[in-house]
Amino acid sequence: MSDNETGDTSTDVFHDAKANVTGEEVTQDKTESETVDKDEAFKDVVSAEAEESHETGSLEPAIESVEVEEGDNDTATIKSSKADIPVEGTRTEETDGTITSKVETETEQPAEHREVIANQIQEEHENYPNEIIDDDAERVVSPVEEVQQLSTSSAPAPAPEAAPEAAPAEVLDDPQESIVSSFDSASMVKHSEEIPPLPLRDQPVYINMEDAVEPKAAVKSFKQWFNLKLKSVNNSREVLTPATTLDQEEFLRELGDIENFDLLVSRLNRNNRDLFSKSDKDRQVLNTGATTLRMTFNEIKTGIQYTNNESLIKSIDWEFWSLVCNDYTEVVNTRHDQLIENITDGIPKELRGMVWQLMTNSKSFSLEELYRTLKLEDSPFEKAIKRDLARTSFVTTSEVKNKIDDLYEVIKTYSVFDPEVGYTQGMAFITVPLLMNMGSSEAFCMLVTLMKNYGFRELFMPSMTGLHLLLYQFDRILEDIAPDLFSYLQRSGVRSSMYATQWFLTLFGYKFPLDMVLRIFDIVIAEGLQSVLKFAVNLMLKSKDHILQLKFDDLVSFLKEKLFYYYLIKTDIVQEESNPSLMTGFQRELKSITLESYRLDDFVRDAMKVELLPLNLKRYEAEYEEIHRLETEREEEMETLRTSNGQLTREIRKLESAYAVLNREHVDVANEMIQGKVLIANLQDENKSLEAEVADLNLRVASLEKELSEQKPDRKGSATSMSSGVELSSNLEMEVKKTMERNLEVMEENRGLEEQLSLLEGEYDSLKKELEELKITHKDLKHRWGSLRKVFGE
Amino acid sequence: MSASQGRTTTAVKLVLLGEAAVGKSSLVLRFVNNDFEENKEPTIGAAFLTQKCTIGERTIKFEIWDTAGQERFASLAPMYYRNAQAALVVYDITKPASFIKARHWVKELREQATKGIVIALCGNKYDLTVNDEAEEDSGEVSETSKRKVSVNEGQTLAEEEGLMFFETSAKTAYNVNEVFLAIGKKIPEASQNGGANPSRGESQANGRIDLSAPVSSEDSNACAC
Repeated sequence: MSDNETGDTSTDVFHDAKANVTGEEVTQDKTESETVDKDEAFKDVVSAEAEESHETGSLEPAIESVEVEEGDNDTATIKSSKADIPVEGTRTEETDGTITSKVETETEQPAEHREVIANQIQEEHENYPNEIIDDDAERVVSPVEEVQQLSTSSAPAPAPEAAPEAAPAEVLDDPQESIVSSFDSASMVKHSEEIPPLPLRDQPVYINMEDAVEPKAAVKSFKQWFNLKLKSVNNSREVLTPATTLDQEEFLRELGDIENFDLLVSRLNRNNRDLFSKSDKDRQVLNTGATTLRMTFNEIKTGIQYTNNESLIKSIDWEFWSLVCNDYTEVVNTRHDQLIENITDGIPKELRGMVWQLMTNSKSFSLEELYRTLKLEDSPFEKAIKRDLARTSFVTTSEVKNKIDDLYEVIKTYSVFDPEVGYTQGMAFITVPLLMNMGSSEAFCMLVTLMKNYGFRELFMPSMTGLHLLLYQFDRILEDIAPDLFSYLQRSGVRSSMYATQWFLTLFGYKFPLDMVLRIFDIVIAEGLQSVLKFAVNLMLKSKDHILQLKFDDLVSFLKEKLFYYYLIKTDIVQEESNPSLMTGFQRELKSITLESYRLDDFVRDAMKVELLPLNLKRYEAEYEEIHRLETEREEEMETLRTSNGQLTREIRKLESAYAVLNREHVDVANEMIQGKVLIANLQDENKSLEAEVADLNLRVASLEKELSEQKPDRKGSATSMSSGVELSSNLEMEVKKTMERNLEVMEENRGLEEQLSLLEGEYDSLKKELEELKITHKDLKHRWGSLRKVFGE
Repeated sequence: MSASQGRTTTAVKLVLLGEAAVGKSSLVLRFVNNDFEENKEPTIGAAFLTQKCTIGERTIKFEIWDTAGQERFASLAPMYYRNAQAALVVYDITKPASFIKARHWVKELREQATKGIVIALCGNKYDLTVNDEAEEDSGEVSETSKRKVSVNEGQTLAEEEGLMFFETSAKTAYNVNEVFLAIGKKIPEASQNGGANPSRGESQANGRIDLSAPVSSEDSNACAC
């Protein structure tokens, strides 16, 4: 929640800052219509939260700032000898001398301007440091935002037009009135009190990289101011700006660099840096290319003059564009705001191709030569490219239809030239606008330049890091500018990648007609790829109230299909509402939506009002890279975890089967054990019964022993106690005696009997003998009997 | 959030995946608008459409994410299939490469998407082979046929992976509604409103082992010593 709050505050500041910029411009610009425009715009951007409490006394410093400019002009005329800005000598004859000299005198002014302002600031700070601190403690202002504001707010100064120069008195006469008439809210005027105009403006005097002299005075005064700010920031309780969390030195360094506050300058410097990082030979090739392009300027101009198309001739600011063509860097440095305005209004169609190429330093004869060679080679993407070109209405319905072969060649050749990128759906949307404005070989050069220098390559690389980065930056900017909208989308589960992917990959070409894309291209080429974020954010802001009312599915389809209707002219919207079919309608719709049905100028102008600081973009980029790095790490970790998980799963399975085996074994053992236990139990029972038996037996033994021991003393007792057992023993003795006597008798008798027996035996023996004798006689007799019978028988 | 519909309406998040130019957007266009365009624009990023249809008692509201087919948009795909209850993996029956890609998508879905996601495999551009009479009977790919992926191949993959399988033609509307209806029928009633919010429940139950599950072979007699 606290996050949101701080976001809110910075948004306010952001808006205010913008309002202030607009205001400054109005003071300079005398055109009525412009004033009205800006005024409207201003009302748009100034948020409802603008405080009114600062109204009183707020005008005073604003006047001062006007005075500064006045004084500035004075000093400029006095010290006109200083000319530290080299002017390139490659002007065409077309440029007339007056312009050149004018440019020279004008270019001096920023330096002087800077000094005067710098002094002024120092004075101011010496005079009212407390006020500023108090002010800050109340109103939370991020130093970054302020500096951004400063860098732009002082911007108009270096390019004062003839009018202000001629009529400085007018401005001085009643500056208060002019300011009041321009804006009727005090908040933004208050701002100019709060923040002294800072001397940052002089820094874009980066003509060549070699000439990039550090403006020391400015930095010094800036540092003083910054330290003051930092103190005030630290004093206030609720503020938590990046300054407090960042390393101060680092922050100072970043703040001291104008590149961080101006996309246009940032882009130019990157282009120039790239140019100067090349070898001398390559640079020469590019220079020759540029020179060739410059020469066509005259041809184009004369060509148009021949047509006698008065309105066309008048519609083009020939003087300005000739300056752009001659030395773009210088125009950026000296006519920064005019340049932005003119580009916002659209580069004239006739000059567009040339201007684009000069801005990007793309034309190179050697690369064109390479194109012609590579063109002949085969690409693995040929089929896919052909198939997509045939079914891309952006291509088939546009003027480039006749150049479809060139389009195919350029895209195909690029896929050969840069096999790592190859071909990505969406490339056609980038190439078509190029081919609309230049020859195919030039378009190829520019495509290569855009890919390489402008970050398009990352957009189309298989990993699409550029796309993810843009989406992240888009999210963060939206979060800063419209936290409520951002959190609503988050809560609804709608991610920017769901709807904004195609915006960025095609620079809005997927939904917008070519004319709009060309205008977006103007900005992108001047300010870099990241300026598409301006368009994206602007579209979101314009439809914010509507978006906040939508539910998920309506939300997605609205964001994808209808977000652009804000810039449709009313009648078309009605027509569209009656025919709500989304996808089918689209192709027909595309044909019906011509340049006239969109408020094209508003679209571009509104978008350009969205302030993007390269500083913040860089910061977001760093954040994104950190997040991305962590994500990749996480993914790698996930991957390793997944593989180790797989291994562990296998191990688990192995262990499980081993466990099952063990379990079975365990069961067996357990069973055995149970049986053993039963056995033991039985044995124990047996044992017990045996023990009992033993005990019983022991008892019996004991009792028997006892009995026995009882019996013994009994016997002894009977022997000793004669008196009591005399009779018994005498009886017994008598009995024994009797028995013995009897025994003797029996023995006597026995002896007698034995004698009788021996007698009888003897008798028996004699009898036996007698029997023997008798037997013999019997035999004899028998024998005799036999012989007798014989005798008788016969 | 998306509970504005009646109780009987089931919101089903469905994602279309498949190689470039197999006819994903055309299938959706046919299903949602009953329309067909030759040379449909290539999808950049993804398209979102909704369509309601009634199956028996239930009203099913399909929230369809039609993704871009080109390989390099694959890095965006997880966002769309995350939390999807249904997926339609499309290939072109005249392009074998698209069938291989379909295989990959099925694999990725099985690994990364919500468990229990209903997947239908869809061999599109059936109209291109209708004139091949021979293949109708034999099921084989004849030499002259434009068909390069046989019905059997598709069916086999579907059986292996437990997918529904259809051959469709967005051009002639053949089987298009049937695919979506079949998906709708397979969506369990319980999973209502699930797909409306991708940010909800980021649970990725992919390939995890439930260590807390009880081991079944527990022995009650374990070691009494």
